[in-house]
Amino acid sequence: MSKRPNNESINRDDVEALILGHFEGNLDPDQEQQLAAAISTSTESKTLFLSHMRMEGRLRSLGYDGFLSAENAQASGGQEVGEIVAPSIQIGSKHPSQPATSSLRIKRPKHLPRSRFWVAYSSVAACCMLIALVSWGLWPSPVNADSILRKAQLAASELIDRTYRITTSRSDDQTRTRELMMSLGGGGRFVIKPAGGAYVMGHDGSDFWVTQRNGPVWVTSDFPNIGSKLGSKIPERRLLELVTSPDEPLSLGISELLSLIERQYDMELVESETVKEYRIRATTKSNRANYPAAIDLWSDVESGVVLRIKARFANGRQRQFELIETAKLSETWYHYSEHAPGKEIERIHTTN
Amino acid sequence: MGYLYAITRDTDLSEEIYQNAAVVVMEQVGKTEIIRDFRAWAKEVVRRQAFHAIRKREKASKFTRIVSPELMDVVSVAFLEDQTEVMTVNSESAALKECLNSLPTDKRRLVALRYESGASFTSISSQLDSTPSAIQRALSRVRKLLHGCIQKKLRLAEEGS
Repeated sequence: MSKRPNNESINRDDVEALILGHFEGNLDPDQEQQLAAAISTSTESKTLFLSHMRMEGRLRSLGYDGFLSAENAQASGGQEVGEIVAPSIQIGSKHPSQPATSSLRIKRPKHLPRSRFWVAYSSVAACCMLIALVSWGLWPSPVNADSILRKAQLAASELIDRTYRITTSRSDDQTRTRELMMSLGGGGRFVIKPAGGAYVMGHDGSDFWVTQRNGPVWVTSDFPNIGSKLGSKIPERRLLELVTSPDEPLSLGISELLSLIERQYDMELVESETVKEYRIRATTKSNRANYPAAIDLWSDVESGVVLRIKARFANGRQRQFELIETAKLSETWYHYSEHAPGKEIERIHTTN
Repeated sequence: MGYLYAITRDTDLSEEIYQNAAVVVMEQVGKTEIIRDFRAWAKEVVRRQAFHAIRKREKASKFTRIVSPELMDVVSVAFLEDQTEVMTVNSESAALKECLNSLPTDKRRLVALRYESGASFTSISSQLDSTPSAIQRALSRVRKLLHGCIQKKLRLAEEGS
């Protein structure tokens, strides 16, 4: 597979070669970067990757369940694939006189065919037994920072409305703080309002929208690009840039922050002030300046829900999330119509 | 499974994550809480289970060649945002089976060795009296062939309806 500069656009065949290389596990870091760029900037490349990904998954599932060996193959009544769409493929042989597949025997699968549901049910049964043991005090509770983070992630992924207060303070003046209210509904849905209420922005699960007091509602499905499109139109552009920037993982929500901790931080369980809360301290492994140097996280022992997060950056600035309320919001809360009734709608179209 | 393999490149680990995610999803089914977008929620469960497993694997083996974080993120976003219709997914699945059944025997066996027996390129090459790189190239061509065959069948079905 040939290499090319990262900034050079690549055609469909090149992208497909990268995709195939990825699934074979033989891309180098530069090629992985090229593939990532292709998927994130081109809808066609993303679609191609996803269809290859689904095929790869099916092949592995069929193989895992033992449906690929010759004895399971149905007799082919039609044309061969090779004849339909491509020239026949020859497997290179070290001895041309000997047919490459003449002595081929299919080994038994590493894993015996089995039903996923059977495995899942038996796993659930095993979990239930384990839970019973724990509840009877016959088994030590395996609480650690990893398990607490996992529980918090599962809680954050629930489609339950939670409202957090976000407080930010600058590095040069800790007394000057800024407050925002953020509702999170799971599935990527959110609404953010600054304390002054100068504007509101949100995501209803399919469209991202933003509006200010005296203006229309801008709506787009292209979330990452809205920052650059609207940057000059709204006064609070800094926050908009933060929310839409992939380099500012702390601005959007609890889920993203937990994912960041999982990938980029070392964690330790530290003593909490109360038995109702767990506390984790996370210290960054990354040297990226926009990542907080340290994050303290408190979660509810029972539900795993994140109660508070305090993030401290190397330059002294701080950001804090505090759970204010868990209450069901109206069905339309994450839709702009709830926050900007009667306003003109401007749909923003961005291109890949 | 495709997503899991795309970010782990490890069949056994993918299967383990899949089973763990299935357990979480099934546990949720028994609860009274209403999940409004079950598909999105289940995908998120899979992604989280995967990231957790990858992190554990990283700790266990510092020498495993892992997918770059950037690519992992891009693939995860694509997976979470994928809105492909269930009907299309089912059609692809049926088309793949037809395409597999139409594969010449040697290519079918190559696929079986790789995906069913989990054989390495080196192992397959010794069984087929070939070289690992020739096997790798051949498998790559078979994958491309199968993908093209699926797309062609879907196109024909669409034109026919």
